[in-house]
Formats: sequence, structure tokens, C-alpha cells
Amino acid sequence: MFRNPFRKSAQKNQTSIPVSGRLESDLANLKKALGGKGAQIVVRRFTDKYCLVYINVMVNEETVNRDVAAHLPALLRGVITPDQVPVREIRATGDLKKAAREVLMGCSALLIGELKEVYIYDTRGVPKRIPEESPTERTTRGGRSGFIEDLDTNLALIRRNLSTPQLEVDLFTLGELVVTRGAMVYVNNIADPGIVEEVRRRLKKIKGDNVLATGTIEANIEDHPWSLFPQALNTEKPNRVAANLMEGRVAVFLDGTSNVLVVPAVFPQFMQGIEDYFDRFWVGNFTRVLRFVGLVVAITLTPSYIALVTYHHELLPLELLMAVAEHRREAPFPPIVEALLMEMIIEFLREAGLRLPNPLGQTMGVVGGIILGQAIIQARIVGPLIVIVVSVSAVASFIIPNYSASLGIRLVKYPLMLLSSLFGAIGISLGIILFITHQASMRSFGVPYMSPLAPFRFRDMEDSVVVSHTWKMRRRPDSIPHQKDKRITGTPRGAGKK
Amino acid sequence: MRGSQSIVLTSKNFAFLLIAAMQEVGILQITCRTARYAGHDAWISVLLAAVFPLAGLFLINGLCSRFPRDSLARISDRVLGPVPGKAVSFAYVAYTMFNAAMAIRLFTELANSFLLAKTPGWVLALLLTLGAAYIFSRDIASIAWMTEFTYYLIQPLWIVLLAALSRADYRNLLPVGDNGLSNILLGMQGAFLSYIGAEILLVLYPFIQNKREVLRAGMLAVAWSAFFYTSLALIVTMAFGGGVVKLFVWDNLALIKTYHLPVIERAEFFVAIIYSWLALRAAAVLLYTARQTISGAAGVSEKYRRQVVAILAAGVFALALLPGNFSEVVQYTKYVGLAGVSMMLGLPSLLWTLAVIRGLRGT
Repeated sequence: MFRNPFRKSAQKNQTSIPVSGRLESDLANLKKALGGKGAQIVVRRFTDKYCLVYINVMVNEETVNRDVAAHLPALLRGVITPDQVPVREIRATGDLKKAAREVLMGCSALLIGELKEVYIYDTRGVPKRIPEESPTERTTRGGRSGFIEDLDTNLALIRRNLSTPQLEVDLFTLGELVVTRGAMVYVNNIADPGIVEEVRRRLKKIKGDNVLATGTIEANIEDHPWSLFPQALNTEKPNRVAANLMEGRVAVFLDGTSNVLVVPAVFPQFMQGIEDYFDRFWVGNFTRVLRFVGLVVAITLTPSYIALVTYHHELLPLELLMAVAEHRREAPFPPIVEALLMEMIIEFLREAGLRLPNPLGQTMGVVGGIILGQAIIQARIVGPLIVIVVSVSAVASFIIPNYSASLGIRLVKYPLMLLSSLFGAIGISLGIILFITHQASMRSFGVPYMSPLAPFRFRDMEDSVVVSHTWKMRRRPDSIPHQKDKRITGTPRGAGKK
Repeated sequence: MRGSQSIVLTSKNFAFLLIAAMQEVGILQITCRTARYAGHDAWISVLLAAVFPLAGLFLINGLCSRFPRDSLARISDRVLGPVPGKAVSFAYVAYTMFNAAMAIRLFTELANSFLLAKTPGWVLALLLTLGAAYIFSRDIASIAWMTEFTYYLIQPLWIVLLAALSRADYRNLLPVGDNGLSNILLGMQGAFLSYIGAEILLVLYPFIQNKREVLRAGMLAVAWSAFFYTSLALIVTMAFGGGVVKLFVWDNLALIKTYHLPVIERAEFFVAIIYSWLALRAAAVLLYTARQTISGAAGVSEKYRRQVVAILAAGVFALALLPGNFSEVVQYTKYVGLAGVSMMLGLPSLLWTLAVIRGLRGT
């Protein structure tokens, strides 16, 4: 039923079970191929020549009854042929193993005596939720719908955003024991064929019993598996995927997960929010710049505190210096321990808040942020300044719109804290240049990870640290290889003017 | 694509690498070093010294254009024969290691004076060597992108230095040329340390995609550095006068202390921190060329990259500890400057002449 360009070698390894044309024997073989003890496997017999096999929890019963079973009498009478049954997709196969795999994915198999083929009808009907806004990618403007765990729905959502004949969807399956469907999506005349081929090659190389999430794919296809930073954009927003596809990127969908991978990814991309393009020009730019400031604050604020308090007191204003000195006189721990303690508490609160139901999570934030903070200062375990520093640093890290990027960025500060506690400002300075070098040496599918900042591409600056008007973005980003350079922008500047 | 892309440099990348190799911690002392000979005419010495890297670029470009796919190790091998060729390659490696070591040591001295008075110098030298080792273990394109990105981040530093113009008195430059041509020419050697770096082209030439733009990119990099150094020398001399400047150790930092910037209590502190980037960038670029040369000369494959990096880093760390005190560091940097000029001018002249005489060309 599904084109599977990636798994030819895997299929070769599986021995096929040919359809013999003897109904009872084929049925027994199919049941065997389906495995288990047969619970949930439904076998509906229509005379001694026909029988329909499916798994009751995987199919849409209405589709089975209304579209398949209801037409079987006509089939028996010879009024229609098996491939005229009005279902979404029909395929015939002479291999019972293949038929079993399709049945396991929710299809129904029609066995016909004396015929050496099994007809597979797409009757899939696994329960699915409504496409609603993703909790990790909330926006104030723009489309709200988010991807769900169903591949077909997700592909429909992307088609709704990009209804062009150039949208190419390559379906594939992953996993040796548990087969999961996936799709590689790109815009044919925009995406660079080299990148498309590279994504296909890497997907083809993925081996495993089962591939349950895009995270597994990401880990298998990325260039730098040991890096802290994501090299594929992980998103649940169809409009975001659509915008990226129009820039020449490739999206990877997987059935059963609402996250879609977009490659190649560059670091400044993780600082882009959807509202940036919809808000007023100045507001969008302010927000974008604010995120970069937030990035710097999230990484350097706590290490700077440690460096200032440990080594460079002379840089603090006198009043603040006196206050810090007053606290340090009674402080039981050195600044690095204070900072680590507070950072750990923040991490605990964040992780706990994430796992708890929403109202409880909010309570946890209040309890942690106010009560615990207050108590810890009163108990003189840490000083008030470090509580402020760590809180601001934590808030700044939450400004970063991409969750996996913000996780990586937060972790950067720990080695910086250690370096600053040992070598003060020089430690921070060294840490930052190593951080920049690490980022500059990364590639995502051959694309420099820091582009358009390093290598600097002036043309792409219109959507990096700042964001330009969409009508000014007349060319696709130079950083991402693509075919068709010119975009067709809606209106020239001043279309509103007379 | 993983690991399959061949590394290429654009001419812009080369320009940034050259700037990184040239603009190291030596610029902190460029005016006082030249002023020791040229007095208040130090800026003329600084400007004239730019002729050396320009000449170096022409010579190296001339040599390398005969061997467009070959790096120093292979060129010297072909032109001089296996044994002398390898000797030249190893001499280049030794020079770059020494140059990088002095950049690190100079910053260590600066850090001990301004930032971390109690931390032993060897600890800081080790820290910087390890940092440089991480950077030069990367590929050259990544190093180029890093230098480009940090270049933009460093720019506010120059603005801080230019802010001292408010304290400048142009009469300190008068009468122009009063110190005599011979002293002005002698003063040029004080600027050598800040101008050497063009010799990296001997190693990087084969990586550069558009060979026709090499010279233009290199000249732009030298012109920008010359403009910057000369402006710096002018401002420092105008602020203090030629007689005082020659007494300084870190003239730029002394300059920043002459005025007060709002919000930033101690601007020289921040400037000193940024100089750690200059030291690391210069050391990393130089050592990358050393890494390539040693691999080429000794026939070490890319598989042993980490071992080569470790050996070079250990050597650089040892060399950084060689000078016993600050005055010895200054003396050593003088030697580095002279060695750099001979690598930049002498070596390509020799190889080019022999290549022309023997009619040798690359494939």
C-alpha cells in the first residue's frame, strides 16, 4: 500500500509466505504471520470462498462495515471486482507476510479462495485527537493548529498549508520488528536535490527493532550526536514546517508522534518565533533582539556573578559591594556552591513543573519561586543576590522559543560557572570563545550551523538577529541550499500607498 | 555529507584568518615599542611597517600560484629536495609554535597584571594552550568562521579605544618626522610582531577556492590592520606624547585609563578580557598551519590529528614558559617578530627563486 523506497534490504531478509489460493491454509498462515494468540483478530467469513481479516482495535468499524463488508455480496455476485470496493486505498499482494504487516497497521485483508492474491483495504481507524495548539509552541498570532500523532492527519495539515503540486511526499517505513510509517516532505522545485538525497540516504541507514519517535530519527541522522545543541528543528506547528519547506528544507514525519523534524537547521533558527513575522515591524524586531539578549544572559549571568564575587570585586558599585561583602561574611558556602545549589533547585522545579498537571505545576512554580526562595535567604544558606541572578538567568533561558535548544543553552552555563569560579572573567571569556568555536564547527547536513552569522551572509541577516518585513524577503536564505532563489512576494513596498 | 565535504576557504575567510593571525596581543604594545626608536613619529613607523606583510603577500602569492594545490610542506619538498625541504617545514612549525607561545605568554603577563594577580602564570598559560588546542583541532573553515564572528564581537573594543580621542592633543605629533628617517625605520621593528601572519598563506593557499582573489583579500586585511594600528599609535601619541609613550608597557590599557566611561567602571578590565580572544585566535590560526605542515612533512594522516594537536599543544605550553620574566618575554617577542619577517619574506623569496630557476611547477 505504501511506497517504501528505503527498506529494500530489510525486506529481502524476511522470507515471504506466498498465497496458495487455498482459503483455509492461507488463513492459517496469515494468522500465524500475525502472531500472538489471535485475540483481537477478527475473521469474517462470507461463504466458503471469501473471508475478511482485520484487528478490531486498529480499524474503523464503520469503514469496515459500510465500505468493505457491505459491498462483498456484490463482489460475490460478480457485480464488482475486488479492486472496486470503495475504500481509500486498495492493494493486492501475493505475500501473506506483507499482508500481515498491513493488517497490523490497521488494514483489512480479503482472502479469496482459488486466487493467489490477497486484497488489502485501508480501513485504519486508530483513535486520534483533534489538531490543537501545541503547549510548547504557543503563539499569540498565526495558525493555532498543531500536529497530532497520526501521520495522515499531519500530512493533510501540511498540504493545507502548502497546496502546491510541487509538494513531494515520500512515504517510507522504519523498524525491523515493529514497522512505523513515516514521510519525507519537501518542495520539489525549491529543495536542493543534494540535501533531499542526503536525508534519504541517512534515513535509509537507520536500523532498529522499532522507531517510535522522531527523536530516534534525529539522533540517527544528525551530524554531531555528542553536541548539546539540536541540529534539526523539532516542531509541532504546520505553518512553521510549511515556511521552512518554502526555504528549501526537508521535513521528516513519523506516525505516532506529533513532532516533525526539519533539516537542515541553523542555530539562529531556534531563536525565531512565529509572531515575529506577524507583529508590527518594531515589535517583532524588539522581541527577536530580546531573545538574543536572553541567550547571552542565560549563559553568562550566573558565571559573571561568580567571577565578580570571587575575583573582581572592584567592578561592583560600592553600595552593592558592601551588601555583597556583608552577606559573604556570614555565607556558609563559596559563591560557586551557592550558585550551583540555586541552579539545581531551579532545575528541580522546572522538571517537576513539567511532569505535574498544569494547575499543580503552576503551584510548584509559586512555591519554588517565592516561598522556597524567601526561606532559603532567611535561613542564610544563600544570599539574596544569587537568588535574583539565578532567577533572571532561568527566566532568560525560557525566552528561547525552541524547547530543545533552550535545554542545550541552559547546560552551557555549568561549565562556564566552573571556569569562572577557577579563573574569573578569563574563564568566562575562554568558555565563550570555545562555545563559539564549537558552534562554528558544527554542520547540519553540510550547512554551517552558525550561518548566517558565521559565515556571515549579509543577505540572510534580514531574518536572523533582526527580522525584516516579509515583503522585503525577496530571496530565499542563502545559507540553506535551494533551487529557486527568488520568492514571489505578495506586494511591493508601498502597495498601500497611492 | 557527514565527514565527506572537502574543506574550502573563500577569500573573505582568508582575510579574517589573516587579521586574526596578525592582530594578537602584540597590539597592546605596538606604540610603545615603536616609540622607543621613533618617539612621537611612531605612527609613521607603524604605517610604513605595513609594507612588509604586503610584500610577503605578493611573494607568497607568486610562489603558491606556481603550486596551486600544494602546501608549504610539499612545495619545500619539491623545490629543495626531501631533507632540506623537511627541515624548512619543521623550521616553519617551530616558528609558528614559538609565535603562538609568545602570544599566549604575553596575554598571561597581561592577565597577571590586570585580572588575576595571584593565579600562577603557568596555570593561565596551560588554560589558554588547551583552549587554543581545541580551536586548532577543528577544520580551517570552522576556525575561519569563528574568527569572522568574533571579529564582529571585538569591534566595540576599538570604539572604546577611540573614545580616548577626547584626551588627544595633535600638537604632540609635531614636528612630524623630527626623529629622523633612520629612527623611524628602526621603529618599524617594534611593529613587526603585529604585522607578521601573512606566512599562513604558505599553508592555506591550496584551501582557498578563488585564487585570483587571494591577493586582494590579503591586501584588504593588511590595509585594515595598518589603518587600525596607525590610528591607535596616533591616538596614544596624541594623548601622552612621544616621550611618555616609550615608558609604557601596555600603552592601550594606559590610554583607556585616561578617561571615564559611564556605567563601565573599569573599561580596561573588559578590554583586557577581550584580548584573551585575540591571543587565542592568533595562536589557533598559527597552530593550525603548524598542524597541517607537520602532517604534510612527516606524512601523518588525518587519523592521528589528535596526537598531532596534543604534541603541538605540549610544545607550545613548554615554549610559553621559556621566558623567565616579563622583560625576557618582550625580548623573545622581538625575536618572533624578526623570525616572522624572515618567514614572510625570506622563505617565499628563496623558494620562488629556486622554483623559477629549476622551472618547477605544481600539478
